[in-house]
Amino acid sequence: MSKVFELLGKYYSKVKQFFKFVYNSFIKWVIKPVWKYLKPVLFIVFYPINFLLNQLAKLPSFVIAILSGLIWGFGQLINRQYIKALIFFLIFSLVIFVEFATGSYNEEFNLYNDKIPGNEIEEELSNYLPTWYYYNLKEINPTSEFAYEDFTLLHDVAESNGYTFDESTLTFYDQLGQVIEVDNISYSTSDMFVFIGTQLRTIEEEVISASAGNVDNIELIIVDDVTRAKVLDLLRVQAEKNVLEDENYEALLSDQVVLTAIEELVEDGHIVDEASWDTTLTAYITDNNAALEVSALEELIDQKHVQLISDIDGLEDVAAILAKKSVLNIVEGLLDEQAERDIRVSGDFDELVAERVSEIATAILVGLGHLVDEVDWDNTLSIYIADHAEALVLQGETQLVNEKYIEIYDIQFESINATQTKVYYTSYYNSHFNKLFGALILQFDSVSSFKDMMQARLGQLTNMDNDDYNKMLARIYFEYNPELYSTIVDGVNNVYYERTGFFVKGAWGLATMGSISQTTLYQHKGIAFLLPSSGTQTIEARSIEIEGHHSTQLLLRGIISMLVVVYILFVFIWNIKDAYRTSKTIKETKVSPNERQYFAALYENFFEYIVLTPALILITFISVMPIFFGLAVAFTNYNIEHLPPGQLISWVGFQNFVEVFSVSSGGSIDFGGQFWKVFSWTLIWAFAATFTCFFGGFVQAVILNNTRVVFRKAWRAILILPWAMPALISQMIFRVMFNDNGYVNQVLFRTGITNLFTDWGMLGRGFNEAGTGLQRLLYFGDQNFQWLSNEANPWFVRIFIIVLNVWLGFPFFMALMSGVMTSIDKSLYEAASIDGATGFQQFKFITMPLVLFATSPLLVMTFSGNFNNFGVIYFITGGGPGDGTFETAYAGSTDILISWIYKLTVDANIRWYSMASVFSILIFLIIGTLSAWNFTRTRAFKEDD
Amino acid sequence: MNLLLKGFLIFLALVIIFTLQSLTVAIANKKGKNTTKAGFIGLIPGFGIWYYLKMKPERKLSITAIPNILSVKNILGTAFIYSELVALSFVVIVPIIYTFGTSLSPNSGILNTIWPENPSLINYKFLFSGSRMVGGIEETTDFVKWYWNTLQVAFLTMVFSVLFVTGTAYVFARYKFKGKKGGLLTILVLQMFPSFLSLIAIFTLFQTFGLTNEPKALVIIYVSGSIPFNIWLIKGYLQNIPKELDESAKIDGANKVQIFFKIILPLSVPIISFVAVTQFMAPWMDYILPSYLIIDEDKWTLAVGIFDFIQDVANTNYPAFAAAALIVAAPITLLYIVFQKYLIEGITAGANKG
Repeated sequence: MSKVFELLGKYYSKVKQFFKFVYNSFIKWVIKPVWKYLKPVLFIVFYPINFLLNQLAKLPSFVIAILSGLIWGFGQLINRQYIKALIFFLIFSLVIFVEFATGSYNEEFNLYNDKIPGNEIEEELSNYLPTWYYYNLKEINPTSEFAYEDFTLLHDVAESNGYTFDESTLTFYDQLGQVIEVDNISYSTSDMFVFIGTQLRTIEEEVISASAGNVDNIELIIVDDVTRAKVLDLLRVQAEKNVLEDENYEALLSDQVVLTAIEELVEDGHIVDEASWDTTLTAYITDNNAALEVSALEELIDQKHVQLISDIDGLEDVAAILAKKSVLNIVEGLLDEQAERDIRVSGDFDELVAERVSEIATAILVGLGHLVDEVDWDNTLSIYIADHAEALVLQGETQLVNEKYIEIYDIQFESINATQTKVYYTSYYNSHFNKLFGALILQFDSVSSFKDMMQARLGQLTNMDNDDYNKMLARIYFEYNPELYSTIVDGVNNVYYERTGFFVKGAWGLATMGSISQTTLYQHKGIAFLLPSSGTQTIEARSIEIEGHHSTQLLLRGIISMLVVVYILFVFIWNIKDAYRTSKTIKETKVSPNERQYFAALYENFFEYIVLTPALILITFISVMPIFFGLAVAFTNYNIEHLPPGQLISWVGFQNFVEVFSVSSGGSIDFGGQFWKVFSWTLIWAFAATFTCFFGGFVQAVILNNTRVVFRKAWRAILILPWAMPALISQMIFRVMFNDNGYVNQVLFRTGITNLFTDWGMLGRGFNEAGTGLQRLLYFGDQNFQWLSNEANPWFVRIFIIVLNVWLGFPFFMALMSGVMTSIDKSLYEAASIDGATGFQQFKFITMPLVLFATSPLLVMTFSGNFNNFGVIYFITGGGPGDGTFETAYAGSTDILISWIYKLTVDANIRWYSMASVFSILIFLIIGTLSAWNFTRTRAFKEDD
Repeated sequence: MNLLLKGFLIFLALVIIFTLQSLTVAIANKKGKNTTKAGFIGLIPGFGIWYYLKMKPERKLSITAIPNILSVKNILGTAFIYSELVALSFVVIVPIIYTFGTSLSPNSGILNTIWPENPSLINYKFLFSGSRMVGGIEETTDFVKWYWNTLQVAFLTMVFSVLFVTGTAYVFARYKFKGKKGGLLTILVLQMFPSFLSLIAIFTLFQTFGLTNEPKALVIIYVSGSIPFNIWLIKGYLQNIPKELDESAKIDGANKVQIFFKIILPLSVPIISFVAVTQFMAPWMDYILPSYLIIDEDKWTLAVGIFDFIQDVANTNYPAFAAAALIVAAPITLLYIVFQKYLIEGITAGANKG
């Protein structure tokens, strides 16, 4: 076995040798040469820095200190204390890092992303649309004239989704070359139309590339004469149709007719003043300054019309003219379309449409009988109508406006269809959707209506919920109303709130406590008709609430960040001081102090502070911070009328304090007057409770310590029970016992004492018969003693509470004083009795002074305790007979300040935090001063070294 | 009338018994006999006095000694004292017995006599099992959960209080440093602030961190609230430990930390246990904080839960309240009685010696 180990040992040492060799050669052949070459490089790099530092070190100390303040650690670097420099710099960068990490300085404000809930529709649609688009291409009537296919957009669509689109087969292919979904669309009738389409596109291109004026010079690029003839035929047929349906024809015709008619009328001797021929062929003739409507002329005109139409030559002329023009029309139409497309793309489209819509709307309204003065058709669909010189805004009447809007759309489409200008009203909010939708529309010769389009599309999306729809609506609406959008964004976008980090936002929040309360977006409900009526879910347009600034959270964070700043300030000052001192030392002694020594000394000297730190931090953020918060609240108007997050609270300065010390006006809650009432009762209570317990305990201790008492300890154990039981429990028990129908009253009733008092007139009367003055003071209750609920005689309850409190409080003093008494030196008594003092004198001159002196410091503590004795009041009387109401500023008859504050803070119907804070501060000032004064008097504090 | 008479007779009887006892002991004392034994024998009225009167005195007595004891003045004085004691004891004990009685009462209304006619343990069962059927409707209670919550909170408070306060108090007690007096005064002043001021802030703070409804979060507040007072207490105690111990340890080469752990801590076990005990007991009786910060009923602590038994107007349950009160009060009362001397000293030290 040992041989094995020997062998292993040999190999182990060999291996060790090997590794050592490798290591050494690594050093020799790699590190050393690298270092050799690196050293000069480093030297070159660091030499200037070194030089710079040396120069800087020559600056006066306070300058170095200032530099260190600007960039922490820099001073230490100049002083060549690298570790300290690193530490300070790390803290510095930590602070800056926190500020930037908690803020979002880089992002831009985006109302949709940041504030409005719901998902964007885009992804849903873009995943969907190639399929959908493709299916719907089938519905295109392939034989509609001049429905030329614009495949560029389909190409675009395909590309953006990672597919390819093959025009020849009209198929989408995915990246692997596989067909996406559908059959080809085949155009069953003539390839002619395909060809025409192609040709027309060529024409279009020609037109586009040619200058607009030289249409005459365009040649149809057609392959052969036959085709050309065919095309021309078609064009003529189209032209004739166009002529007949074209509004130009109508106009032309009517022009003709007008001329003729005017001639005729003038011949007949009428004075034709303003002949205005609209298409209904009514003419206004002024005869002798009276306007007559000459629909009687219709016959005449009809005749003329027929004549004209039947005048085939005329028509032919016209037609010929138009025929030529029709090509032009087509070309012009194409130009128009291109222009339109350009307009649409460029953005004037909206204006164009708006104008068009505006005209139509005006027409409608005029038709309804309104006088449309200034028709200002902005995109919020508000119209100003002047009816009898009053301007009305139709904005609120969404229903009416909606209907009109729909009408307008429909009318528009009709008129559009009628004019055959392919203007399509689109809604879009990103270029993708934009293009797609635009592409789709262009495919459609006659599109039913925008609404149906949206319905069709939206109906197929299943993953959207109400929030998403509302977001989409808002998007659409704001696309049309960019001014409104920017107003809202300006309103909501507060740089400090949205962008800054922990420290800056904290400071701002502290100063302003928020500047924006809730904003509601409701305008988009006006276009709610766009929402699909889907069967499975109820989709409705709802107002979108944009959260405002949450005042109390801002205040809280502000205070926290300021406290952190205090700590940072401490480090900052330490940094500057250290830089200053060290550089002075260096200048004087020419030696850089040893950092190790510094840290050791630090540990030695600051050991105390280091140990104190955890408790200090805990106290700062859990005890001090809420106190500052409470202090701050006292200077605000944080109450039930101003509740974040719905509303903001703001600084009101000393107003609350003024209110406490002044007389209130009738309407508002009389906090001031009530405060003094409650305060005086609190004082009375505190004094009474303290002294009754103190002297009660004293008397009891004296009795207990009497020599005649046997088994003193047993008696003491019994009598100390009230103190031993948790005060909370005893207080609650009293509440039960002294209930109007509780145990005590039952006993009193059964023993006949109740009857006795009734006979004496102190019980048994109703509330209203309580009487006044002394009679009232002696009113103990209605049927029973109303210990806790005597509304007519609150002093009864108050005195009762004081007496009851003795039960709770005397045992402590009794035990205490009993202990003091037993520890009094017996020899004092002996000496006194030798001198002839009676028992009573001994008591008066020895016992009493010593005991009282020993326990009097407790008086102040007990006084403070009773001043703030929440439990006795709250649990036993609940604040006293009479629930606090508005008139009494919510204070009951036995409420002391602290229980009142509790009510003001905790009761969900009251919530006057600002006043509660004010009172707390006042309490603190009183009790705090008292306690501090008392404490500084004690020996201990003075002796403390 | 009957009740009154009954009560008065009992009272009278007790006073007489105790007066006689006292006289017996006085006589026994004068005669030099064992007073404790005399105390017990003296409880038997009449017999005790006669017994001791007959005894031979162990030492010389003056002639007036015994007659003085049996003088009218003395007897009246004794009777007076004892009537006061008995009356007061009545007043002290009656609520407690009444609570016992209520807790054993089978109806849920207020008990009108001091002891129910059909005492039953139904209320205790109700509290521990969590539910019972009353007239066909099931009533539930989360008493056990409340107890457990409060126990956890109390335990954690105890541990963390001691941890945070001891080291800090040590530093204040032993070392001089800049800002010490100011720090002490600040701590004192902090204590004076009514907790309501911080209530809203704490609530907002907890809301921000999602800590409402979490009883353990209360521990943070209790611990930091306990720091001021307990620093005083422990500091005062530590100041009584002679500095020479420190110095000799330093000479032996101990550093500050070692002095703390090896010398100071073992000597301050009494005061640390006091702090631990008081901190353990404090959360059981705190109503204000849990009532505001904890919303779910099953996460309440005991104080809030118990008060709810009698405050919730729709659903008052006085016997359950009494039973719960007793369950909670019993251990604390016992602790207080056993450690009363200590506790009183501690409380006065807080105001007195510092």
